Amino acid sequence: MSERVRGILIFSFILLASMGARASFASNVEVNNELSLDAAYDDNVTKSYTDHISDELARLAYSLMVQPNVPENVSLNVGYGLGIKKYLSQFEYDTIIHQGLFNFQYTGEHMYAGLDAQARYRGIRNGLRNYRWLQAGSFVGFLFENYTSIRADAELASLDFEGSDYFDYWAQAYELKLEYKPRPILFEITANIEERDYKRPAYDAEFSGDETFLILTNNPRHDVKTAFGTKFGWRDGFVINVLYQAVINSSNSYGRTFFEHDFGFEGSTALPWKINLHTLALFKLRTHIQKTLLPQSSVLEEEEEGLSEMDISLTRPITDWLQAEIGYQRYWQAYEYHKLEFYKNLFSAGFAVKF
Amino acid sequence: MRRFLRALALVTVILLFGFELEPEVSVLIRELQSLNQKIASVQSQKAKLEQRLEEMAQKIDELKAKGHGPIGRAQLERLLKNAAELSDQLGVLEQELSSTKQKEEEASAKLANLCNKNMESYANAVSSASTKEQAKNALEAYLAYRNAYDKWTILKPRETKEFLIPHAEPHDSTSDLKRKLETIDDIQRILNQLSDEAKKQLNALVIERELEKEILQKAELKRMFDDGEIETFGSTPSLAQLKRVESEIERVDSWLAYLEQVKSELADARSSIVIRVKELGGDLK
Repeated sequence: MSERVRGILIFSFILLASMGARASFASNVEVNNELSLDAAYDDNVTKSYTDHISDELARLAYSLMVQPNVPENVSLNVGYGLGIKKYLSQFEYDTIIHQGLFNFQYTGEHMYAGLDAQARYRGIRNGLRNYRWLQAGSFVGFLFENYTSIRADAELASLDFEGSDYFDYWAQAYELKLEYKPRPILFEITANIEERDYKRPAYDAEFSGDETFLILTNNPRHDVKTAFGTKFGWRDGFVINVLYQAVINSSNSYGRTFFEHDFGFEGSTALPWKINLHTLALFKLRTHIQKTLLPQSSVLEEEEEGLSEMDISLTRPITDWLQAEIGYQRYWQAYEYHKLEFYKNLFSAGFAVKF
Repeated sequence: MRRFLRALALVTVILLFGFELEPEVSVLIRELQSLNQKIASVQSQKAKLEQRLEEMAQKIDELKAKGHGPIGRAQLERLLKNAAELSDQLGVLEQELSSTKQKEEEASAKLANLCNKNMESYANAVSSASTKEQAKNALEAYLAYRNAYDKWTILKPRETKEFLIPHAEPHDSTSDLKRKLETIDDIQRILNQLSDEAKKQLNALVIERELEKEILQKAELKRMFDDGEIETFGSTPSLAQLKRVESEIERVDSWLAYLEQVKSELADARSSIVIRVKELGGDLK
C-alpha cells in the first residue's frame, strides 16, 4: 500500500473515531452512520475478455451523514464515505475509496434550489488507476399545478488520473427534467448535454487501402454528449421504473463518435418474511460511427461508461440496526468485435449496520 | 396570476386533504394563509417597536432624573423626537394590523359560510345516500370541508356539527335517540372503512419508504465501488423520491389521525345518547 493511501486510511479512521456512534457532538446536529461488510466472489477481477482471473474479496463501506438542524425550508447534508476492497490473492487490486459530499437545498412555496458537490479519491494498490473525481453543481426546480414540475441542473466535473492524462477531463453538463408525478405514477422526460474537454490529443484517421491508421493531432479531444431520456415509474407498495435513453456522443477524436440506446428496468418489492427483493437491469447498445481497428478505447474507465449490468439482491432486516443481504451482479460490455466482449459475475453476501 | 394562484391553492388543498374542495374555498384558504403570515409579521414588528419604545422611555426617565445639563437636554430632545417617530410607526403598524385582521375576519366569514353550506349539503348526502360508495364519497367530502373549517376559520363554532354527529337534545324522545344512534353507527362504519383504506395506504407507503431507502443506499455503494459508471450524471436515484414518500406518509398519517379524532367524537356522542336513553327508561335492544 502506498504511503499516500496508508495516510488517507489512517486519517479516515481517526475521523471516524472522533465522530463516534450517532454522536450528538452538538445537540442540534443529527449524525447517521452506516457500515456494510460483505464477502464476495469475483470471476473476472480485471474485467478482461480473456484469461479471467477470479478471486474472493471482502468489501467494507462506511458512510457518515451529518444533518445540522436547519429551518424547515432548508436541507443541508454533509457526508463522508469510505470504501475498501480487499482481495484474498490479487493484492495488487486492493482498493480504497474516500468520498465527501455536500448538499444544500432551499425549498420555497413554488420552487426549490440548491447546490451539491462531491469529491472522490480512489487508490488501487498497484497505483495504476488511481483517480480524483470532483463535481459541483447547482439546481433549481419549479412546481406547477397537477403534480408537474420542471428542474434544471448545471454541473462542472473533473476526472484526474494519477500518473496519466489519457482519460483526464473537465466536463460541464446541463440537464432539464420535466416531471409528472400523480401517485402512483411517475413520469419523467429528460434532456441533457455534456461537454468534455480531455487533456489528451484527439486522434485523426489516415486511410490506406482497407486499413485505417490513427494519428495523434495537435488538438485536444473534445466530446459533446447529448441525451434524451424518459422514465416511467409505478409505486404502490412496490417500486418499478422503466427507463429509456438515446445518447449521441460527438467527438473530434476519430472512433469516439457513437450512438447509444440505453434500456433500463428497476424493480423492488417486499416479499414474505420481511425480505426485500431488488432487481436492476441496464442494457446499453452502442454503435460507433467510425470503424477503427481495436481497441475502441484503451482505457478501461472509458469503456465502463458503456457497461451493461444486471443486479439482483435480497435484503432482510435482522434487528432494527442490522440487515443481511445477498446479491448477484453481472457486468458486460457488448463490443462490435465479439472477441473483445467481456463479462464479470459477482456473488456477494454480507451485513449492514446502522448506528 | 390570479388563476395560477387559484390552481396552486387547489393543488395544495388536494395534497393536504385528499379531496378536491371547490375552487372558491381553496382561494379563500390561500388568502387566509397569506393574511395569517402577514399578521404574524406585523405583530412581530410591532413587538420589536414596543420593546424599543419601552427602552427609550426608561432612558428618558433616567435622563430626566439626572437633571438638565446642555448635553443632557440635547440628548433628551433627540430621544423624545425618536420616541415620537417610533410611536408614529407603531400607530401605522397598529392600523395595518387592524385592517389585516378585518380582512382575515371577512375571508374567514366567507370561508365559514361556504364550508357550512357544503358541510350541510354533504351531511345530507351522507344520510340520503343509496349506496355505500355514495355515502363514503359524501362523508369524505364532508370531512374535507370540516377540516378546512377547523383549520382556517377564526369564527364561531361550526353550525352544522349536528348534521354529522347527532347529539342528544333535551326534547328528544327515545325513538329520536334510537334513530340518532343508528345514524352514528352508520357513520362509524363508513369511518372505519375510510380508516382501513388509509391504514392500507400507509402500510404500502412505509414499505415503499424502506425500498426507496435501500435503492438509494445500494446506488451509493455501487457508485463508491465503481461497479458501473464512474460518471453518474442524470442517472442517480434521487433523494427527492424518498422525501416525496415521506411527505406522503405524513399526509396519510395526519388524515388517519383526523379520522380517529372524528371517530372518538362519535363515540362520545354515542355514549351520551345511550345514557340519555337509559335516563328515559328506554331499552336499546
